[in-house]
Amino acid sequence: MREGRTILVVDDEPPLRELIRVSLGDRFAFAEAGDADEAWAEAKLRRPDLVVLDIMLPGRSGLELLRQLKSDTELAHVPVVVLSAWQTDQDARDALDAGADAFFPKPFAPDELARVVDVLLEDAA
Amino acid sequence: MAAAAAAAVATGAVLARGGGAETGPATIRITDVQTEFRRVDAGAPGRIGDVEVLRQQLYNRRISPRPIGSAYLVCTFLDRRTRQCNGTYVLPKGKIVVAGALDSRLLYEAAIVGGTGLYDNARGALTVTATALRPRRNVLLFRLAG
Repeated sequence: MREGRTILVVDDEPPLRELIRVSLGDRFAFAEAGDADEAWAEAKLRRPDLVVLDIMLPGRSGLELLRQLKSDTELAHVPVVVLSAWQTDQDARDALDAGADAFFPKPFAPDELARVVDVLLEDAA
Repeated sequence: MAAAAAAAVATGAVLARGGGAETGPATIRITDVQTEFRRVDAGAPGRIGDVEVLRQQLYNRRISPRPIGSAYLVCTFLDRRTRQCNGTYVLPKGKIVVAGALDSRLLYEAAIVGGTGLYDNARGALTVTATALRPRRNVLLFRLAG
């Protein structure tokens, strides 16, 4: 695992952003955003190595942001882990169709999220 | 896909049929647990040509804690990330064969390209969603076209 990577955490609930940061540990640098517009600005500025994205955001949804990320030539390659309180098969397919690389239901197991991030970063290396 | 209702009985799977017809679109939802994983290094840079070999056991926990079948997948890396996968899902009374290129085995879709027995000439799509990595578990959603 290459050190010094940046993960963009997008969730409108600060405690959840903190939980994600703690789950992934101090191996990474983090950028954070509470809505899609803020996340887009952070993504363009920081060029993260991976995005952890909640679906339900105020304003534009996480799926809209995901489509925007995946249609951007500079960011399309960045793996995106989608977190969702919605857990139907259709929700997973919607995330897949939008370009998600992994779909994780909430509440998530912190160690599983960390493993998923490691797998995606290894694949993207 | 003929005998969709029978397929559901055979797998014990959750199945929804469109239009109330005896044949037609159907959905089978089961889970898997990966029991074996090997990666064969082809030696080329960037993983090209490396092969992943996977074996899985298939479950429908709603009807039984025991496996209802097994699956075998072989994936060949086309570049650092993308791999071409072919898989056979061995279910009661028939097999479903899938194929497709995918970037991540954590969330992907593959085409159902055929089958045997109850799934003779099956067509449709398989959506795979990873739910855990140790051991590796997935939710499998087979959407069989009519």
